[in-house]
Amino acid sequence: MDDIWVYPFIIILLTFSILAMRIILPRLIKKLKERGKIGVDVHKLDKPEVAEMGGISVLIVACLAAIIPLIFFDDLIIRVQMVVFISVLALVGLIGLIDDLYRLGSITKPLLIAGASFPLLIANFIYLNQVFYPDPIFPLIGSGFRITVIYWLIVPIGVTVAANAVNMMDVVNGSMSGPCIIIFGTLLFCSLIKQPMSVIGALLSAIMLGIMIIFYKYNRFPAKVFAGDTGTLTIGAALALIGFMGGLELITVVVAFPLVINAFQILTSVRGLVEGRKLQERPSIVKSDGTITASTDIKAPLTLMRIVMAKSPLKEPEITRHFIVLTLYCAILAIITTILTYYIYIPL
Amino acid sequence: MGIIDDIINKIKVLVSDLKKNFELLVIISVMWLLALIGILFLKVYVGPLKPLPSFEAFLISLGFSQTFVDLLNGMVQVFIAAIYGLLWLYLGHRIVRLYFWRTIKKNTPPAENKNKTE
Repeated sequence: MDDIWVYPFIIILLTFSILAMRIILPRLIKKLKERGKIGVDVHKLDKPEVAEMGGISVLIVACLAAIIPLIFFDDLIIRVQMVVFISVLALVGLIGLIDDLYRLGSITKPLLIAGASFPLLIANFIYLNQVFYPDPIFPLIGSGFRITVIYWLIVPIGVTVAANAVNMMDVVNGSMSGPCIIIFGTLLFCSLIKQPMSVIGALLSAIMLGIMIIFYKYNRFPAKVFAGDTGTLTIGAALALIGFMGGLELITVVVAFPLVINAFQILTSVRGLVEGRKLQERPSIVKSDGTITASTDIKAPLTLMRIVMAKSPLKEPEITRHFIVLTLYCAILAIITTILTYYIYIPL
Repeated sequence: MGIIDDIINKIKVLVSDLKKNFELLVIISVMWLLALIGILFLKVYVGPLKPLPSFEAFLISLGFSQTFVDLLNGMVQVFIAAIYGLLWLYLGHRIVRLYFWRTIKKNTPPAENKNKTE
């Protein structure tokens, strides 16, 4: 199929995911509240109850939207990639659902997510490196390193890291969904300017962009729904899959720098994998005027939220705005990285 | 006019937020540049690495195949790349921590952060 046909598909997928989310999410919120699936919004003084596990809608819409190219695309590899996308997301979403309902251990969860990436490895093994290409292209130097063996090990680690990094970013209203709109929007743009165009990257980014736009509408301050682990892990896995299958590995890392900083600082400050709810010291304190201030306790985990609050206490929407500004800047760096990768070459 | 004023206000807020996060943006830029420099370093110095001819001959004389020598060479290259990657992460970690605790110390009254901050 010629690349020109990708553009109408992008518009169709974007429209479909927006409309499907717009229909499903409000109904899901109502159902979740009726069934008592609610969480407390701890960063507000009146501690309101908000519908939890809204990420189920993300999982459903992502899988439904991926069926469209599966039916209408002639290209076998694109269809295989869509099947892989649906399989990995369904498995990761199921792990998130179990975690939301029964709580998984801090070691069990990453191991299960790594296992959920196996459909990707199996498909690539069957279709001989056509589902993802284990020889990535780097900025300025092009295809320089042969990491064919290592790459297969990086895939499950990458899916696990991305899923957990998105999960760790979901701290205040809109702090995960807002930056994710920019991340998927940037990946869509970078997929289109990549040489040759990354069709799978563009299609999957369009699906996720549409989903995140509507999810942000309901998740931003004051939130009507929380994503829960079902949502955050699914979004993280989708991010990793776009990176690997779309051949946008380094670009994904650059645009997701705030997520990387947040996850790495938390892991190093709490010294390993620890369940967030088991931590004694909280990184932030809600003041009587409704603002949130950074904890000065050395034992508290060093989160990105705590870092942006270092100068002064902030209101919840301000924290989200800071996250969005940081991601926006990383989006510019990611676009420069794409140009350096596909348009500028230094013969060394 | 209302829409234009709204856009101007949003741009002002964006510029103000960019100024407030200036130090973090500098840290991100430094990390990004170090990643690019690292890739160039690995391409120029680590990519062409080959075992010394005498060492290669020694390994082959011990009965190891050429494939094993190549594999060993690849493992050394991956090891160096991994060391650079870990150094990159560690440097980022230290810079962010340094920025955070300095800013906290500057903005918190001494009585509040006594015995608590780094």
